[in-house]
Amino acid sequence: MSTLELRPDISPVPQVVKSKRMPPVIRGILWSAIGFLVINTLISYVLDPRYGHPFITQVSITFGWFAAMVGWVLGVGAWEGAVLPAFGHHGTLYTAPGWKRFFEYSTEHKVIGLQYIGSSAGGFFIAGLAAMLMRLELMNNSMWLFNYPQQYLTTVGIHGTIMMFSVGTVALVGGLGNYLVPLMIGSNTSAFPRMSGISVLLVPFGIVTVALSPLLGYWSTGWRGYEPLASQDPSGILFYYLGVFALTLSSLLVSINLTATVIFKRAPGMTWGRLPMFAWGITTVSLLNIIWLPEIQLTFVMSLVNRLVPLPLFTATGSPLTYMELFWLFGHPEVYIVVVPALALWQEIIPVMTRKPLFARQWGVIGLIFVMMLSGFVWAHHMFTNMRNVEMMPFSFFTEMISIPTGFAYLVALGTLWRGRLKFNTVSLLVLMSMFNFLIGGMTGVFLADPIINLQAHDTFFVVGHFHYTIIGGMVFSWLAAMYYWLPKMSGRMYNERLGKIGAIWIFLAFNLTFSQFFLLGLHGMNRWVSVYPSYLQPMNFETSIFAFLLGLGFLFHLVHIWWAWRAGQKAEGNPWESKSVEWITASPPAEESFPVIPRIVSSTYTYDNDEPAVIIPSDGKRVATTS
Amino acid sequence: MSSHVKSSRTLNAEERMALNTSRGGFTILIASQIVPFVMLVNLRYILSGSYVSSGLDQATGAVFTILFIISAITAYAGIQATNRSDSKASARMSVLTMVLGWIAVIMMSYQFWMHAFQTDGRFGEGYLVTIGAFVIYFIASLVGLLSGKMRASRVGIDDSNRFSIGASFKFWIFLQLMWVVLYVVYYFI
Repeated sequence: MSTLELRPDISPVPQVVKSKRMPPVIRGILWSAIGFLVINTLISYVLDPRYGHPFITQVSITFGWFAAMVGWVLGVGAWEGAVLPAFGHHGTLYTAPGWKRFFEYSTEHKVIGLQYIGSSAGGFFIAGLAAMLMRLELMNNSMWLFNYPQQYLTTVGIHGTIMMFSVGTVALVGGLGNYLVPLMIGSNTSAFPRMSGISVLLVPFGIVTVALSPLLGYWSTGWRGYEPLASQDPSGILFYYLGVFALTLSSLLVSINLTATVIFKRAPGMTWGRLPMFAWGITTVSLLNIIWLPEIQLTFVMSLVNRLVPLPLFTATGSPLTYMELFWLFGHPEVYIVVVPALALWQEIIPVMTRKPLFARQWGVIGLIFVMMLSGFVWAHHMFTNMRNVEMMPFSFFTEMISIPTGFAYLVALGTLWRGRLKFNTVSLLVLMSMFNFLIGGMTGVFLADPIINLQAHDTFFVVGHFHYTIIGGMVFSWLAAMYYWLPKMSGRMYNERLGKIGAIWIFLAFNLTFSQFFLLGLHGMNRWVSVYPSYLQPMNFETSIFAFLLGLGFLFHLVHIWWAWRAGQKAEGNPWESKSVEWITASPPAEESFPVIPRIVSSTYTYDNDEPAVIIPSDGKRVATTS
Repeated sequence: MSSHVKSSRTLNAEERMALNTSRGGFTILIASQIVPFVMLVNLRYILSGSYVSSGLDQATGAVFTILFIISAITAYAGIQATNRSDSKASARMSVLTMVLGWIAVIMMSYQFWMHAFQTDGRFGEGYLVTIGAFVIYFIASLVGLLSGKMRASRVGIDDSNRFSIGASFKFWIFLQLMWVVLYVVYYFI
């Protein structure tokens, strides 16, 4: 018997006021263009004219970009929704019906979550296209696709920057976090919905900015923006700084919002001891974001100023190492910002699929928290080649130590799987694949924590293989698992099990055949950041590229499958997985007000060893079963 | 009690929770924004150790630092006025705070105008970046004060907007506290 048959109807049809104005996205683009033209012209022709009166200067485009960003955010709807009320005016915010509401300013956490997921998916495929171009170039050991090395390096930079700042940092936190966390803790809203409505609009703007960076010239620093290299690049690096500023600002606002949501918006009975693992994961990651995103933002602002003024901040005055320290202080916690929600997703999904209580839940939480804490002590292993032996040892130690709390996530997952009756479907398959991939990524990470190996493998494809196993293998596979798992909740429809499994096996094989060879390429001497390499590496690079293309097609297959299932899949049951989690007592898809009556949580949502409900709707005092 | 002062009432449980949420979120925001200032202090010592440029005028610095401190006091008075829902006094304190802030920032930029010290040396670089970052926060904070002032003037102060109007004053006070730290770090130690 499903949950929905037992609970009262809590999904009234929301009233929709039809909009007669210009489509918000078009208005956003228009306001953005006007903002850019006005401010850019003002600076380049009036305030700071340069010799020859160029229309675009580095200073003018920086300020013009800020005006364009503000114009975009206001034009899409923040003007009526947030700014006018903040200044004491009554803005009239129209709400578009149907799918159009995903293309305008919204304060509803579920719409915002899906906007984040859509933006991240867009970023994933743009950055993925860049990856395909890189692999195409590397099929031959000479320059045959790109004319100049700078073009290849810019493609690498766009790929890495968009993947890290708009997919890795955003998809699970801004996307699934915004959609699921309020539902999981029994709240109708996030803590700061207006702020959240603004923050999501920064993501597409940031992605477009980075993707258009070659318009200003090539840049060769990759996603790290290394100084003083960046200061020698043409002006494309400006759009790297600015795009990343928009993306990190979005993530910072998300983190403040979700942390406050988890602390203050929990339903009665949702104690810290009952808080879902995914909400724990989002909270720990949000704390990491709150500490480290302002740090990297200021670093990039300094780099921007360094270029615009210009200052010799990281050359004559400071040292190149100053920048590296500042970057990697953020850069390594960033890896855990990406991965910790994935670890939490395993622990969220596995108990449901095995019908067993979550094993050693407290240790799972401790693991997430200690990963968060230790992640701030490992940054310098990225700079072993610039350090003395005695300086390396503490960082080597902490880097190896962080594998212990990470291992807790595995032990919790394995303990739950042990003697469980696992439903072997697409979701559990993707979770197991993610665990396998992340294990490879983690183990090669332990190798790289060792200075002797690190100094040999530094800046080779071994390192590239390692971090792709953690990021794609760990995070992206978990993201896909989560999309299939919550697809019935988000869309009310079910995916095709056979197609899902085919797609999962497809990307698992293609992924491993691609990136396992990166380890071999690296050990054979294939360097990063080069498009021309020794001829003996060409055959392996050629076949690696073939598997990479298959991987790209595999992800495209999943996109099409999810899109199709969303629109035309079979109608799903209210709670197809018979989960006890709070989000499943709402309608599928949930109405604008998810909980007309705030539920009361009466026990852990992972108690699959009994049939007692974990959640009740207190309006009539009747207990509501969340599983059969 | 004049007409622009609204009487406050006891908040119900839902309103109390909303207030706690706002307070919690604001505290997290402040905690996150301490990080860049910690970085700026670190940067000062990484770049130039404890060296202080002889061209830097401690007395002028003290004058505009005192102005910032006075503006923090007027901001505190603004919080008090906001708490008793006195919209006119709150708006007045916003304006006073902004004016004091502007005077202090103009005094701050005077030393650059006069080329009081070398801005492309080890000390000057860090100082320039720190001042720049502070001014960006200053402008953001001005926008916050202006929005609070306009809300107080246009719709008055009630339970629904008391915290957010007060928060713009609180952020201003936070910023001035940060400046006092930066003043000591850059001008003396």
